[in-house]
Amino acid sequence: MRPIKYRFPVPTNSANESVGTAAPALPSRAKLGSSLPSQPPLLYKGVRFVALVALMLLPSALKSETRPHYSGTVRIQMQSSPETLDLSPNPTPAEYWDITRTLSLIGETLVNLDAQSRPQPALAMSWQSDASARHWDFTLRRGVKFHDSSPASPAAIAEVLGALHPTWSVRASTDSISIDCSVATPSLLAELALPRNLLLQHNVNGLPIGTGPFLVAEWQRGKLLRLAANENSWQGRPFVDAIQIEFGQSLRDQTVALQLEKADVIEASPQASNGPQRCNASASSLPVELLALVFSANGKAHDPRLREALALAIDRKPIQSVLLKGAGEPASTILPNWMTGYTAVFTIEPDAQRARALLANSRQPMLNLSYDPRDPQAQLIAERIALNAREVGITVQVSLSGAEDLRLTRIVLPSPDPSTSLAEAARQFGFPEPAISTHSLEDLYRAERALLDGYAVIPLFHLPLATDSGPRVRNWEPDRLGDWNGPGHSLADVWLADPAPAAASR
Amino acid sequence: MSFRKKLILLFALTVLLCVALISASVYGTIRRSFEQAGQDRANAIAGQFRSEFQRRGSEVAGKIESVARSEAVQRIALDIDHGLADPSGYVGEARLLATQQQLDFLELVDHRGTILSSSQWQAKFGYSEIAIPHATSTNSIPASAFLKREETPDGPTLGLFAVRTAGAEDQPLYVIGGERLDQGFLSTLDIPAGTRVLLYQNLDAKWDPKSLLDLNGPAAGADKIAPLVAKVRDTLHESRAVINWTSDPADAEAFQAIPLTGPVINEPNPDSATSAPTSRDNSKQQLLGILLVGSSRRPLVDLQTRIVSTALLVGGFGILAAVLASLWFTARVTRPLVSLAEAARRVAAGDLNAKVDVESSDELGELAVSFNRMTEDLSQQKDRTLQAERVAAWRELARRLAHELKNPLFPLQVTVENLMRAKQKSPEMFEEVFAEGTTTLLSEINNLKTIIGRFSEFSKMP
Repeated sequence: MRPIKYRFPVPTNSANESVGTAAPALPSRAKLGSSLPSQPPLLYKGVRFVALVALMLLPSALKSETRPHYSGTVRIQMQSSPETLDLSPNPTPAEYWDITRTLSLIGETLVNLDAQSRPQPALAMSWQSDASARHWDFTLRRGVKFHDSSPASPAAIAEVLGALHPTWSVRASTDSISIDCSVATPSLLAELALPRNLLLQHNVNGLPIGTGPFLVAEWQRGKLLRLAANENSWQGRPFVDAIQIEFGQSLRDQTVALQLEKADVIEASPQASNGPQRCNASASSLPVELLALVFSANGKAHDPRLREALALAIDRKPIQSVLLKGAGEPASTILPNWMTGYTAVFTIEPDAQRARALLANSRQPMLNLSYDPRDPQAQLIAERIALNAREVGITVQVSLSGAEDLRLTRIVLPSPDPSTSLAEAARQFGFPEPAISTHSLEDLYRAERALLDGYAVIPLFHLPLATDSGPRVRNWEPDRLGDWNGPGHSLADVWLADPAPAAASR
Repeated sequence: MSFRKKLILLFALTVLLCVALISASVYGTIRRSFEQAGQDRANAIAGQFRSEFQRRGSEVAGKIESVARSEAVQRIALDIDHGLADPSGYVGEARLLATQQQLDFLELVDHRGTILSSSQWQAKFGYSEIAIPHATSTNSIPASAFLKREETPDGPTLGLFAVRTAGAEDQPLYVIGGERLDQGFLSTLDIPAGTRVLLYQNLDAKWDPKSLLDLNGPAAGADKIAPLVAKVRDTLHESRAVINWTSDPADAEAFQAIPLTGPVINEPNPDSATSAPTSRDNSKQQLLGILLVGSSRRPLVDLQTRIVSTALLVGGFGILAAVLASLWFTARVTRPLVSLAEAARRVAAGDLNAKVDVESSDELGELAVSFNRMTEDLSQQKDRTLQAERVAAWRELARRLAHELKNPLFPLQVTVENLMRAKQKSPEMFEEVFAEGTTTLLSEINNLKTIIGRFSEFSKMP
């Protein structure tokens, strides 16, 4: 009989400890004037705890599906087909989310950020920095082991972090590590919370070994990954015995598989909250992707008037309501409003008359607009943009061949920390890193305004991620940031109502 | 130039002129025949095009009817009628239905003329379809298929369209779709050898060579056809022209351009921001395409070349034959004349005995007889004149002889009379007178002898 260590909602340090020790505070939504209500974490977790206990104590007359229990395999399908279990340098959004979601089940970071950009303890229980934000100390959680039973000691963690960031000086002590950066790094916690800083070792086969709730049991390149429950997870053993991830499944195939109960969790196209209800449980994240037009540095659109006219020509509302099925938010900025709160300052209303006036008496070249052919919505959106452009006299040819003048691209905003996401967005666009020195809202606004001036990039939509789950899945609520192993929202907390369905046999 | 040469030249020119006239006549007749044949071919192909157009139009109308009755369209029409329309759910419907019905174009348009779904340009939802406001304003949906200019992501193109409605009468859902009218359509026509068909899609205000299509796509050398297309665009009437592709006239083609027009549609005013139709000058017959039927000029030119070659050959042989014939003929005709001329020259030289042979009884024979008679008369006349002259000469001679003889006789008579008188009257002096008298007598007698000698010598003259 397997020794069972009951799994409760993510055990964390107290909120006071994590927030109180996180020395320069990151700009939170509330601080930046966001309209989203902030939830008291303690009360929220308390409610969840009570609910879980109540579920466990329900009378035995209730069906067994309503009680948490250990066993079963969660079947997941994903779009991308990764050849390795590593995050490539320039992944597509789908590849990014698929690989980071997968790796986050295997490994963990020192800290996590919640949707309000507040740091949460993970492998590090507490932290502090000096006034210059160059020196950081992290107290590590004790007794944590890697999947190969080797201890996740400060020395081991320091070695992994040092390999990830050669410019940092990472030193280990008895129960902590210290990081020294050459420059002030006030956003170090947000950086450490990024999936690229998952603390992973690799075995002789090159497969990742982490401290997360699941370990790699089987890996078929680009096709299948089977994760087994980590019996020695410091968070407690996951409810399910295994997670089976099938890669390379289109969204349509995933939907069919979910309807036929051949999959339990799938990726889905986000839809408006008032859209048609799906038959299964569906959840959308906050907008964590940006769809934007990016002008090529060596393209033909040198004239800023042309770029501005194109920005004015695009009518985002029909695209959002029809092509995006109401999902997402029309964007005038790189960062979404839930991160900054100031997007209303930027206008997104189309103005064809002004666009025509800008182009009056000028001869503009035909522009070649490319898009990601793997994005099912990209072509239609690109064609709509071309149609809008033609209304004001700009000829845009949607094509995947030839030298591109501008590109419809979708980028990931990987962190709830706006400074980190803006820096990541600039990197993905190929722009210089924005200068953000003080992390104040004004500084952030100036940095983003500097990126948007000149219309080298035209933000279009901020898009959420959506996840659908089948009827067997219980206690599943994806993270608001799209993670599948975020704080308080982990696949490790999921249990299955029917551990061995007929359709599950493969 | 001799009369003979003139005759030869005259004969040759006559033959040449006849051959040229006949060749020109045949040439013109053949040219007219070819042009008529080309016209007939063009008319036949145009008729075939219209027939195919109607057949394909009926097919398109049938497909559109099927689409309008399909469950998907009826569901959308019901949604609209109940106010439950969700455009986001309709974006892909038109392409799906178009694929099922093998249509190149299909749009679902609401009663306001707003596109709900477009197969040819899926991103075009929310835009206006100009054909529908026209239809609603005139309260008439064309029952048959019609030509229509259609915008696609790759640019405007020409299509054969039909419209049907679905749903409630007060808020109908228009189904408008069709097939592309391009080289694929041309390939369905049965085109005779030596003829080809081009289609100019009149999609832009300016001449666009890429819009001129043959069976394989954009036609080569389109710019040479531009003037013909421009003429049809200006006049909206059929027109003909011969296009010389190279310097070789056999490579030329005679094109007949037939305008293809669409229904009268009120075009939206391009200066206006709205898409509502206007009632001003934009209402006119739309020239949407031009069918160009080209007939190769090679058969005509080849035949013309053969005619010219034959004419030259015949003309050459004719001239040669004419020369030979004229040589024989003129020899036959001019031989008596030459004899006459020769005889005339002899007569002129004084030979009045010249005669010509009389070989025929025609005018030349009579001329020869008359000439001979004339020379004979002239000869006789000459003898008579000579005789008369001789008589006159002898008379003059006799007169002169008598005169010359008379002169010495008078001294002889005087001398004798003196001797007689001296003997009778003065015998003493007789002797003296006698001596003197005899001297005179002898002198005069010598004179007489001289005269007689001269006369004798004169008679001996030839």
